[in-house]
Amino acid sequence: MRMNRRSFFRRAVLGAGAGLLVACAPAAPAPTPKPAAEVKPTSAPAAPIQPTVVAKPAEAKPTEAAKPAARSGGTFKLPVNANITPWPPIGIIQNLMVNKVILSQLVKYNKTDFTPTADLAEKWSVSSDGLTWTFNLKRGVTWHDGKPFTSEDAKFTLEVYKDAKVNSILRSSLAPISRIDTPDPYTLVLGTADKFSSLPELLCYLCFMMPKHLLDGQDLTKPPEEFIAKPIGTGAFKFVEHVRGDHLTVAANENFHLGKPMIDQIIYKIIPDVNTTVAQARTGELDIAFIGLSHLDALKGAANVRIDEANQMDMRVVGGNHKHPKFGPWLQDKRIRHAVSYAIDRKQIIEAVTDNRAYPIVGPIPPFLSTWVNKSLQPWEYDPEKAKKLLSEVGFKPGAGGVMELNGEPFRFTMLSDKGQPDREQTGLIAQQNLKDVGIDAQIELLDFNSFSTRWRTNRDFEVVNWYYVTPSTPDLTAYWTTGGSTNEWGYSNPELDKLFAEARTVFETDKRKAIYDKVQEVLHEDQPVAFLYTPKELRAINAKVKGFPSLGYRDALQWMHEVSFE
Amino acid sequence: MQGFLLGRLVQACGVLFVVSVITFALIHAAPGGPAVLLQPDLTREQMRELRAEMGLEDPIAVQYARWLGNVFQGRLGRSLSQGLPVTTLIADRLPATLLLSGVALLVTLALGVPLGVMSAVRRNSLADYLVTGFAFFGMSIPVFWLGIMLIIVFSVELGLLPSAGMYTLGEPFSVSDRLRYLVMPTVVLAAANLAQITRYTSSSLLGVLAEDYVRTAHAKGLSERAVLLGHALRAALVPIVTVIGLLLPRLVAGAAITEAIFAWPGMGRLAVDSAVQRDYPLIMGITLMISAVVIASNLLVDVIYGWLDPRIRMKSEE
Repeated sequence: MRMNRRSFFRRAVLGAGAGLLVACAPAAPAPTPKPAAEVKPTSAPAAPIQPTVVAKPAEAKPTEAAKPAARSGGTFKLPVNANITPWPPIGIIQNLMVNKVILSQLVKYNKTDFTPTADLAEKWSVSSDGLTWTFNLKRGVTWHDGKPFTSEDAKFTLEVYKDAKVNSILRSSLAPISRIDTPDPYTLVLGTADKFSSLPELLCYLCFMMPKHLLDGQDLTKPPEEFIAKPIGTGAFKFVEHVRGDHLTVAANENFHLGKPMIDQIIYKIIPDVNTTVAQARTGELDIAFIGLSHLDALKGAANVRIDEANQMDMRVVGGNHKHPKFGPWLQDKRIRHAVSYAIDRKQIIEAVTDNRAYPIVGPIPPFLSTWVNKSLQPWEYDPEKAKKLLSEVGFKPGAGGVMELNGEPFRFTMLSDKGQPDREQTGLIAQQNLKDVGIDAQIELLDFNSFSTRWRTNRDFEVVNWYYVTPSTPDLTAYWTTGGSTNEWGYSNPELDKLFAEARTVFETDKRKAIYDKVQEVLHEDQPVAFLYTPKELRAINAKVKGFPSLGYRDALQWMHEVSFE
Repeated sequence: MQGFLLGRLVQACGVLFVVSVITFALIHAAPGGPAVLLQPDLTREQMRELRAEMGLEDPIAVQYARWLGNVFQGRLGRSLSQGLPVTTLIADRLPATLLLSGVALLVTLALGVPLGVMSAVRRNSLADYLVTGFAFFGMSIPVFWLGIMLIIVFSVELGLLPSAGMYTLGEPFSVSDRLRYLVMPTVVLAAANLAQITRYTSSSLLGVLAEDYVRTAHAKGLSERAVLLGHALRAALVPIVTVIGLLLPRLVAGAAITEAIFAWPGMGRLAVDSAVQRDYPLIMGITLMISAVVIASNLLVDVIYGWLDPRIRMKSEE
């Protein structure tokens, strides 16, 4: 009896253990992709055809032009740090990292100067009155389930993004589109009430096309369950499996309209801890890891890994709330804004925080957006004496503890930032010391990301933030810097700037647009609505055998995964 | 016995209700809101409309009543950030957590109890000091540090074990592969609990060994082994069962830090993610499930007490 019970117990434990082991197995081993059977030598697409009116900057470079289509096969493994929900309207980073390879857009940024280049639309033009855009779609493009991609899909997609009931990252960007027509399956016509010259640039930003035949008629106010369980797109890679919390696998789309990808598969591994991703890059369990300065030592001497830097749209700023009851009125005085900007030592921050792996910026457009950046402007200089002089001009007097006071009110504020970000914590400390040197008392407060975002974005309940933001690669930053713009959390307002941004949208020739945006940058530079600090380069450790991974931040690079291969 | 169980069941429902009220109130009192609504490019009015659409603008009491109503109909709702039913997400993660925590608990017991017995029997011997020292070492090392060190030594430097994950991607399932991935997270989890089990076993056994009936057993001429295993250990197990009872809920709750370091797709990470993202339905679902398991394991412990020690059984049946 005793023996029986014991052996029964042993068997039960072993049995349960084995059951668990099996239960956790992937549903099916990922299919071993077939070796490159057919290589289409003619798969290189035609360079985008020059639209009739839109003057393209420089010559449209045939970026994805004839490459010897040498397929290397292999699996590219990259990390994401949180759970993936492949639903395009929710543009959270891990979602869009997957969307970029499964789905396509009408147009996308090219690799050199971020001007729009062909994706599903092979050419586009605007009518002479500037109010009607015609996009000619590529023929013969199919969804991963074999159904053809047509203008109906594009229309449906844009309507979803614009729908007031859908939580969509493109709601405001696409608001100017007032009419969507589909005269034939390969023509999409967009009408705008006012001229909107930056439309193609904004369509390059996260505007992923979704299949009408799978989504029409569904409740899209929440991510549709079937679609997120098996997303279907027209992109370079097809969805294979998603073991939630663990990984998501996609496989090469043989029929990809820009040519069959060179590798077989991409696996997104969900790894919350960045130290683990660094270890995995060293052991070869990952082919890329996005790292911080502090990880460089850990990767020193690893022959299988190369450290790479890339340009990314990531603006670091310290800025105040222009509508704050106390500081709002102060920030109306340009001298006070200038004083803050003079007080902060950008050089020291860039050196200490990024080891000089960053660009100083003159405004919201970083230097590598070479078509648009105003090259005549200089980064704001560090001059604490001038800062002090400006403050005393305004009427500030040193008060208790050396803190400047205006009519008895001390220049003291809370500088908010998100917790757990070494970059921002260090920037905050340096800025705090810089400001203290001129008699401004900045108290640092760190909040978890969610609380921070709610105070900053939803409630606008802040005095000063030390923050970053990512924008589309366009000079048309209407949403960010015009009065009441949807992403103008600062509450900044300058009627002259509002006019310039509006005017720029009515002009279609690149030279003339550039002249207006140059002026925009001058105004922002002079205004210093926030202290523009720097744009860091993206640091990453890449498997030394990887070829063709573009020198772009991962947000953009992932759209070129079909060109990546292994040695 | 039946009356006892029934009473406990009624109690359990009451506890679950109170836990759910407190959790609901706390998560809505926490600063911030659902992460899915923090996307740029929505104006504040648009955000408010979306919140209203999701029912988040209603008074807390109304939201709670709605949630409770759904629970009574067996619905835990859909995750705000992942878009899938809460039950699906929990079911996804539960096997992974049961596997890791289960193996870790077994290893802890298989090592902890014998080591504790040894250190009690050979009190103040070198072996006792070693075991005690080792136990305190394991208890005082921070989990994240041990985890990273193991990865550096066994994955990066020696290349013996995979650094993170649950199985080799793209390869068919095999037990040996699964075991290789289990080694390091199991060691980390077991190291932390081993000390507890070892110390409790040791001190409880020392107490029992001083009892009269142990001397009687010796006097009867029983062998050392028979006294120890047949009489002393069984009585000494009562406090150990208490500790195990406290560890049991971790079988389903998971271990967030260990799971994060080793990218193990378990419940601990799901719970932390849901809290970070203010994913209200998911937080509620997870809390409810874990509370239920805590209550169940307490009940189990009570039943086992009775089995181990007849005196306790009699008292509860009076």
